[in-house]
Amino acid sequence: MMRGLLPRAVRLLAVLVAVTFASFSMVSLLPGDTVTAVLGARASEEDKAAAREELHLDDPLPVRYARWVGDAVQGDLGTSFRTRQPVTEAIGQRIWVTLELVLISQLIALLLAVPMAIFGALRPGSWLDRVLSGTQLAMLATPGYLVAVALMAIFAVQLGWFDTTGYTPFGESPFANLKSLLLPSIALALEQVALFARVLRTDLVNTFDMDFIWFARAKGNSTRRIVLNHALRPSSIGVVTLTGISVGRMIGGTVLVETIFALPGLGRFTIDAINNRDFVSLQGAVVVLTVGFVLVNFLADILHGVLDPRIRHSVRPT
Amino acid sequence: MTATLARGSHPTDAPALSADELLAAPRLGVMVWVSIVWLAVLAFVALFADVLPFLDPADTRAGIPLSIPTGQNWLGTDQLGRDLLSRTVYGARVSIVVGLCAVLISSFVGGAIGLMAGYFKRRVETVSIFSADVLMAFPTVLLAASIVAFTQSRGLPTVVFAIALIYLGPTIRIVRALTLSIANREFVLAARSLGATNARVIRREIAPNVIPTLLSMMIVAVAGAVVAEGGLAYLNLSVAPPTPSWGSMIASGQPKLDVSLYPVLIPGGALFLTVLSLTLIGDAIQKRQGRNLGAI
Amino acid sequence: MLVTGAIMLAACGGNDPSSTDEVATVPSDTGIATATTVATEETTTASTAPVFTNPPATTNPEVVPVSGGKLIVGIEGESSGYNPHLDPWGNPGHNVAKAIFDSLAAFDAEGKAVPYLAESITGNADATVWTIVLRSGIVFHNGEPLNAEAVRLNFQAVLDSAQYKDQLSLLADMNVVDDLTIDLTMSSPWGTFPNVLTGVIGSQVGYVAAPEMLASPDGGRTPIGTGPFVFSEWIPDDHLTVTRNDDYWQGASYLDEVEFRPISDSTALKAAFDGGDIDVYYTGSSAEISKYFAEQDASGVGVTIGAPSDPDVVMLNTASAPLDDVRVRRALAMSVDIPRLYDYLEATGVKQPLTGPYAESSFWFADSNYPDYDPAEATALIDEYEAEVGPVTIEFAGGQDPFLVSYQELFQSMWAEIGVEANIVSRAQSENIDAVVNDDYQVINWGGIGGGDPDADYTQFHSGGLNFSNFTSPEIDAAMDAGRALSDPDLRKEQYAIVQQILGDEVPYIWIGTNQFGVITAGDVRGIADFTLPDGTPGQPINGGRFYLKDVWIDA
Repeated sequence: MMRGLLPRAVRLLAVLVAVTFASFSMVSLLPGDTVTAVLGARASEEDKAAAREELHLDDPLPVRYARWVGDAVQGDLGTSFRTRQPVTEAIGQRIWVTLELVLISQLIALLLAVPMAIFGALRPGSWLDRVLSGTQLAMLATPGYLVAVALMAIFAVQLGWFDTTGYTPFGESPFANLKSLLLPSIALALEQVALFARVLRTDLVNTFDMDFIWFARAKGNSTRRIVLNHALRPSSIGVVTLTGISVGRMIGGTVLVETIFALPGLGRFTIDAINNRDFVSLQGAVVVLTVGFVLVNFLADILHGVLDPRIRHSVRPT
Repeated sequence: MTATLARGSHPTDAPALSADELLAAPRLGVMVWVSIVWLAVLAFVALFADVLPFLDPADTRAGIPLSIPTGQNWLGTDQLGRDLLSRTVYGARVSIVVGLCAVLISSFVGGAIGLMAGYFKRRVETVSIFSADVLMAFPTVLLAASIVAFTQSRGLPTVVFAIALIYLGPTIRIVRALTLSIANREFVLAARSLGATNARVIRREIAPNVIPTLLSMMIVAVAGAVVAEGGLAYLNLSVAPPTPSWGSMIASGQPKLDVSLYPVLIPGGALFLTVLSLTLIGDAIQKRQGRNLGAI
Repeated sequence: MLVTGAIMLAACGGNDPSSTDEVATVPSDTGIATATTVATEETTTASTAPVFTNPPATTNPEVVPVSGGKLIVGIEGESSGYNPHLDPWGNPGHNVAKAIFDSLAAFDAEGKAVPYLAESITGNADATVWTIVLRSGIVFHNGEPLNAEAVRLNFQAVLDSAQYKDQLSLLADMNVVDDLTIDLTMSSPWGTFPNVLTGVIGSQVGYVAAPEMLASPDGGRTPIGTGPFVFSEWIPDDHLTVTRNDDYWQGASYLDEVEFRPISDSTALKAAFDGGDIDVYYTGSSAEISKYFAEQDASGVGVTIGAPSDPDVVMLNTASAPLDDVRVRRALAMSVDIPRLYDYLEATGVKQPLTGPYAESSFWFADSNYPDYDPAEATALIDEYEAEVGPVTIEFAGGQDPFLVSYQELFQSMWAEIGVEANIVSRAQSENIDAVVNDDYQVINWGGIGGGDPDADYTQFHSGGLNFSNFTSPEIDAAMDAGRALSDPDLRKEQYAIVQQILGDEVPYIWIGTNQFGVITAGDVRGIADFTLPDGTPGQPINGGRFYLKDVWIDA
């Protein structure tokens, strides 16, 4: 296990360095004068020069990057010019909203996708299978933001069943918390449902065809038992891998969904930072998002190996 | 990072269909044909919008604001009294151009890099896969949104470039995987042992086997690009007004949703149908190819 | 009167670019940071009559306010912090500040600045020395006493602030006379000094913060004042909570707790109110005001309308070709179909059309040659210009909210009809202000000009001021200076009539209409209009989008 892990960890580190450097230099090289952003347009030239000095803006990019990484690993991502709040603190306040949103929608996606996949896989080609896969395609084809606008129009504005906006922390009221996240989570989940169900269904169909399932069947096990005890685990590799990959897509989706539902999450924070040219916040948010994404994929990769012993030590899947 | 291709990790033995076979494919199912017809109609009206008798999409006197469908405005009007049918048609232009161009660029560039990586392996492979990993580590919408926001240019080329970048990483990875699986096959090894040049092997043996699969993936990718453009436009980060884009139409219709559904329903419906059609077609082709690559 | 110049400077320039997003996505119909109406007695008494009128402050004397409950107030943006002398505030910041701090002065029902936290604010005969006497026994939330030294420290903080020192540019000397008395010596007469102390946009001098808070570099993150509510918790972009100050010098307020919730998206803000997530919000959207007003009896939702504030205006940079040509400017104004704009804004009947900075019903109004709607004549003017110079293409800057982008598209289409190509630029509010301050714009949705006392527009119209439109004229300079030096309203009005006539001829601004803010309250919220001054007389409850929560209660 260690032998397989070490090169991956090195690789992971390399990707992290490249990703942070790319985002750091991208944001640093962008048009827009940081000093003007800090001091305002009417600041004097001396004040501006002093600020440049203080922010080390005249140092070469690699030096600034190194300094920034040094601060970042100590948990200091700088201070926002706009709100004068430490970025680490701001992200800390928002990240849970996004994590919870992603978690709930992944749960919803799995809860819907697993039965869909099982029923489809049990009788491939049946009318049920075709209806289900048609539904999945439709889900796949509906952008999350469209679902979000539609859900908001129907359930929040017209029927008034849900809050249109606002977020209650879980600690304050778990019920209100879940209620405020339900519609956004559904909007975010639909695409995942389709992806999960399709992959799991195909894997299940393949698994059902394997000898050990025939064997279990010959021993007189019920279909229910065969599906739940024998087929599901070996068929879940694809879904696990997909979960890792889909986190990236989901983070993209949270930007829009959080904007539509006005949730104080990391996605909206990032878009606000983009719109307000809050470079420091943007840098911090992008780094947290990308590092999180890379780590999730790394974990999915390891889990992939755990679930499928065949590839534990072998070459990476392409 | 490494398991992008869940399904591709078990190279199938079914030979990929050639482009000819694809075109000759007879039974595609009713839904797929309906999809093809929808896309064809959409492409036709978008292409010939200027000569067809559509109203001016920017004309705020095309009808009464927020009217329901009438004889004059077949699909109703938006919050400024502009014709929704005509705006949706012109909006299709943006979607089609962005969808096709972004995916063509990413497929061409990513395809070339992926092919090299899969064929030459070693350093080329390491560098290109590493770059793909770095690119793919950025959340897609944020990457595109940052590019448009910070270049402060809202022309089509910027939007196309931003969205092409999203698909570059996945394309490199998938094409590399396809190339790897083909490059180790007997007929390729045979050609190489017979002294064929690399260029010849790539042109004659690898590319013909990679391209059909890449094409079917591109169809699905176009759907994704259309969605991505809509998302950018919703955030007011796609083409500048008054050029209509489905995403910005949805965004500007939203504040008046309690008065009229049409300004959101019409572009939203067009977006849905277009993406569904592309997905259905891509899905059907992938099924015929015996591969299910999933969405990239 | 010179003070108003300083106020406006702060109102526009002082909206610090790093934080002006707080001035909202949509504080008014056109999303412009609304600068203050520095109301004076003259303006308010003769000011534009709102179409809608508020119910009398106390509808039923038998209704006795009850204590208790938590009020959630929706505000349309976040602030950089709550240090009055460091953090520039829009309406959101001021509303939070009015809960935590008290201002030395406040407007009475007629719009005149009267002592509020101070017991008296009196000037000498030539208004060069002002004496502020404080009430005894008032303490800050942290227990520090409110005394003359605390007030001096607050003024000193303003003088030390790079951004705000302009607000007190005339203040030459401060002298603490005794524990409760401070003398302020001005370098030249400053007759409207009490106006500055009321806490309006661009003027935060009047809020008195605790010395301990001023001494701390992060004091703005945990504000300490003397106000009716005590700061409790702030999570930027999410919420800020305050709790009742039981030892409040005017007697404890009714509400147990107030939560301010920033919701920057206008649709989301309204939806949050409709969904019951927030109990109170304020809006400059005529559509929302008229909608709630129409439903008021049936829904129980309360609508309280403030005095008209600065109008919506499209500002033209007259230094930038083709806008340096008066024909182009007149053509742009002539082709703007105001009723169509009001239709889109759902402002018909709420907004009043304008031909200049002051509404027809205003005391200051003077007739001018401002162009009427005439697209044919506009087309002719543009054709003439194009034949001489070339095609007319302009850049039209505005906000990012989809509603505002559509609003701009309407102008775009009207200008397209006369042959002008307008390219819409959507930017964050802070960037728009940056662009205007740096003279890097052509046409922009703007505010903060007109509506109040004309002297408030000194820096906008005078060549020696900020003059963002870059339109200058010796006659206007002379009239603005003369108006400032005079005290008789009728004589001043004559001077300002000259200004209006020149503006009407030269059209550096396209006037869209008046602005009214409304505070929308849920059915069980009472007392928004009941704001009373310490002496028991009614005060001005709403100024722009800013209001007091001191006398608000929830009818259980």
